[in-house]
Amino acid sequence: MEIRAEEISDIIKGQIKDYDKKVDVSETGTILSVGDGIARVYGVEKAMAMELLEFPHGIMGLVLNLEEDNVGVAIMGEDFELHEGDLVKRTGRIAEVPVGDVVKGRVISALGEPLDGKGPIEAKEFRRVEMLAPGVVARQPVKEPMYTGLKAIDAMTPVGRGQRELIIGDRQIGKTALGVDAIINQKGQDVVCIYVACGQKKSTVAQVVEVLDRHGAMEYTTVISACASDPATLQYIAPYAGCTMGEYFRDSKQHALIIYDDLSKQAVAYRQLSLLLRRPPGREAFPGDIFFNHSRLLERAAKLNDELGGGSLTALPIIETQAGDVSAFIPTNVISITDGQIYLEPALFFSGVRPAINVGLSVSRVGGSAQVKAMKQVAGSLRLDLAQFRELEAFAQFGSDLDKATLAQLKRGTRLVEVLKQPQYQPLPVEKQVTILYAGTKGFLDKYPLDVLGKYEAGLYPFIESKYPQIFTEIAEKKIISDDLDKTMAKALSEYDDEFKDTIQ
Amino acid sequence: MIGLRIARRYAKALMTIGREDGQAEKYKEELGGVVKLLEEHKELEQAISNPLYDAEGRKKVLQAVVGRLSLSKVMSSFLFLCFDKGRIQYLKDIYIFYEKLADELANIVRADFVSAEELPKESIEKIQAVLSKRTGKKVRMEVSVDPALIGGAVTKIGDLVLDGSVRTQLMSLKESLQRSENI
Repeated sequence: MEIRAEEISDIIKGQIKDYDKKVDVSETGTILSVGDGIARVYGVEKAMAMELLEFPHGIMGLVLNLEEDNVGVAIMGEDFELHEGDLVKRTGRIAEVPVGDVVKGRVISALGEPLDGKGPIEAKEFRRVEMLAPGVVARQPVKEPMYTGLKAIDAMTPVGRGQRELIIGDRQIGKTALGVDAIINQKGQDVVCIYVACGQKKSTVAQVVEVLDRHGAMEYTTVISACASDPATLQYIAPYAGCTMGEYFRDSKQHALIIYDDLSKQAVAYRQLSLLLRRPPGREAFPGDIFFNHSRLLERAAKLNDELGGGSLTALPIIETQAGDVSAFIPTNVISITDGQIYLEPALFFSGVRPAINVGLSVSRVGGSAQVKAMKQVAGSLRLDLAQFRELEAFAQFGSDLDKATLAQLKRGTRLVEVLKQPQYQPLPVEKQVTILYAGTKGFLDKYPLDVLGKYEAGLYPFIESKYPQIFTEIAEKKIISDDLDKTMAKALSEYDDEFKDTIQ
Repeated sequence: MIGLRIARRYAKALMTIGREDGQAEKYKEELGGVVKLLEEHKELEQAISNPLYDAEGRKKVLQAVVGRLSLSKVMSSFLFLCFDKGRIQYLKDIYIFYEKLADELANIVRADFVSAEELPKESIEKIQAVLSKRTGKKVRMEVSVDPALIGGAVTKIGDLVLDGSVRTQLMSLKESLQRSENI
């Protein structure tokens, strides 16, 4: 397609002609001091808390402190271009982000600007970044499951829609992987996912986006990226921005899942801002309202009542601990806010238990109400068996003379631990989870050595799908293991035993 | 920062007295006179506020100056108080705040009016009338000319800026072309 030069000048001419001669009315102030990403501004007397101010060169600032004779502003951009005495304009807008279906499949900044090069975000609706959490009357108890696709979580610490479940552990032991698996598993479940990368490396975020893309999960996912190189202000508001986008889906009768990766870095960013704004430091130099910072964010995850459409926002915050220290300030805070935690342990990770979930320390306070009956049936004995196994495991290391019952229990335990292992990016639907856990808890695996169990599981699903597809469909539809189904499953598994025995010899 | 806070408190205190005895306007003139005097004669300011000289001597200088200026009783006590409290160096800031408070009391707003070229007197009066109507207060305008605006005028009333200059319009036209709006 060719465009002639006069056409271009026509367009520009039209634009200049239509350009209204308007008087530009603005409320202004001047920069008193600037540095470390914080500016003190004199004037802008009517400025509101959390309002956006416009600095020269199109840089925006967020009003955080309203003081007697100046305003403390966190600059969201590079501050080296700003100087003392520069003019600052009020925008009259409280910090807000675009919401709606337009943000799906996009990678955006904490201010809602596109970062993926897919063009501008044409949002019809903007919402404030800071919103009040729904009240008591607007909610209902969490009752539907939000499957993560991981056996260890869906069976032992189930997450429900509207729940807040903390993922906690040291660096590099698969916290992000849990979140990514959970997103991938939402495919076809009508759950919109939001991944908030806060203080992460840009390469890590690119990797996550690539993985989501590869598994076709990007189409229903929004990635909000406030990387380590972005100003602390953006890292601070990124979770709130993500939450606002999730809330839109919650309020429009849909279900959303949000992953905050990670809140400890957000706390550090907020600490930086607070200290530079000269707010008094408290424990570990965090400001006094650091608890409120996290509680008001996580409180916005909710299951709404049926009059409001029954939408939900599930939050999976991630906290990084230093050398397993869960009694540090931020971890204890967030543990006390959330409805349970998934505790990841380096020792387990390096001994090959991946996901490295410590099932003893992990809890879900919503518990069974977020599980279907079928899962409850297998998870009950699974939990018991594993608890007994943990007790015996330490004890059994001393002596070799163990009675038969103890040996059997140990054998069962090691096999169950093996069954709970799962490769990355391969979430399982609940019917498959129930089937393999059924095999484990009913002792179908006791006769096999540990190292063939991976192969056993890999072969089991195609076998059932081809010979007994009714098992999967019945669990998926009726969500309960009836007596008839119990018999069919036992029959199917013993049949598979015969087939499998041949393959391992 | 601390200076501003101090200045505001002293100015407020002086204003309270001024409001009580109805002499607010007079104090403003007197304070303005002192500030102007100190600004014009830097060595006098030094002689009064520089802590290198002993306080006794400095106070004597101040007393002499105050005596010469034939200031009202309140104003001279105010200056001595400022001196005793070691705040005499903030006198200028105090005056700025006091001026603001006095304007508020007299229902006056100050406006800066900058135009690209000299305007006839009637136009300025017209603008003044419109601004008074808009703000609901008497407007005291400082008029100046800045050819850099190219055309039009810019009015500043406190924090509020009414920018009708050709320069700003060209700038925003440039921005909107860059953003390629409405194409």
